[in-house]
Amino acid sequence: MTRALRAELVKLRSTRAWWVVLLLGLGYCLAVTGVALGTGRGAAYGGAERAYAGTLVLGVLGGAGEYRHRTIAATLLAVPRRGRAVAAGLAAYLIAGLGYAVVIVGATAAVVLAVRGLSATAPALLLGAVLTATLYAPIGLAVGALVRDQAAAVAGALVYIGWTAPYAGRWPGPAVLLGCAVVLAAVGARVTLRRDVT
Amino acid sequence: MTRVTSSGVIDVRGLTKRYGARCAVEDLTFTVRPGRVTGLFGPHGAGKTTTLRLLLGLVRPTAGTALIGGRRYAELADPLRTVGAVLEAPRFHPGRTGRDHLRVLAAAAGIPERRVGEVLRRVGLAEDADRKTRTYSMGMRRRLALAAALLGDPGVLILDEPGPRGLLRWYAGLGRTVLVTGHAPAELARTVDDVLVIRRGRLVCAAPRADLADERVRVRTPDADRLRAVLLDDGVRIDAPSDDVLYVTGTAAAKIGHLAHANGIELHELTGGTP
Repeated sequence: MTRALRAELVKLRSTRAWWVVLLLGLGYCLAVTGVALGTGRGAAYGGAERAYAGTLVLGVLGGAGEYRHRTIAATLLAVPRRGRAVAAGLAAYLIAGLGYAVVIVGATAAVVLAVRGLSATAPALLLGAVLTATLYAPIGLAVGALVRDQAAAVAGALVYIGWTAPYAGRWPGPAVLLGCAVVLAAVGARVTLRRDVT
Repeated sequence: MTRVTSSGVIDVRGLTKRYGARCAVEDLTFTVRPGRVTGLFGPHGAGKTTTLRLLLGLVRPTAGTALIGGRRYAELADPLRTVGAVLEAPRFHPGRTGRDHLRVLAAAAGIPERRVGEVLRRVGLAEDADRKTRTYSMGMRRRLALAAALLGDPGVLILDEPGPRGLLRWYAGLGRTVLVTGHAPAELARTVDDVLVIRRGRLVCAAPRADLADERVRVRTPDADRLRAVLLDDGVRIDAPSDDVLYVTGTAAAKIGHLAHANGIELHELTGGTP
């Protein structure tokens, strides 16, 4: 299991997707923060709360990418116990999601703090943003593996982000999200466990 | 690396795969033994690739079993160190380097990183290892896939396309199992020891290649009549262009030599047939 997890982390770091998506996510969230602070419209921490945009796209790219590039066959030849392969993937994206969340939420929060100082509600809000963004990475992985068509999966993720971003921090809350993560991971795993790889 | 030879036996029993009404593979039963190169032949669409994917646990059988050393692929304790496989038209992430592709597999199998460099050199890809695979030619992709198969120094090599003859012979010579696919036995005539032929998902022939040899073996002997009598009992075809020369079709040179020796027949020449 630790070998499979290490392999997933090597895999994640070995293409440029991880830093391209991180830069895009960081840019998006900093832009949202800048607009909120500059115009006074929107919540100051709106940028931090949208960090999930980066982790969702990262996960979807990874999950669908295994099918787009047919690397799923090599993955399953190396780790043929599919439950183990799926768990390793989810764990790797949980770790990557946490890394993304800390960087993006941290960067946007630093900007807000520098301009406005610390408010009483900020710590809980930022913790929620980190938790949410972290969970969206394995959710994205599961969704990507279910959809398999990478372009469609990324487009769907962007539509979802556009649709939910105005409510970021309010809905879905971390509890709802955790439920979604568990259900999606289970469905994604179930399908991946049984699917013929041709 | 020493291995118990039985660990390399591939045992397929009643293997069947149906997609709806279509039967891709039907009731296949065969055994592939270590120390030999076995060819799995059949026309395009005969079920060769499906058979290998069933063997590798990528496709679930409708019925039957496919075991490697007595276990299903998914049950192998150390899959990449037990079986090396090259799939048809190998694919890689285009944005990953050849070396990183192997590093991922090495990490999954607990294989030391230095082995990655070794197999890259072995397949002649060391200089291109740090380029992204999108820049690779088809030949380089094949070599990278072969490097991945060799990574764990496995006792069983499975290639869904003809591989380099020297490598296959060398591998079988180490007492390991080699299973390779092809369209017709003739294309790998000098490489394979055992022949399996499938057509429309069914096994139509399983035999040592020597029994199917269509090349002629030239034999020169002062005792042609007796040798001819001995060989004809063995069901071969014989042409005799002169009194002391026979052209024998349908058996291996080694077998002719053995029969001649066993019957005390003097040979002056024995050429062609199996290498």
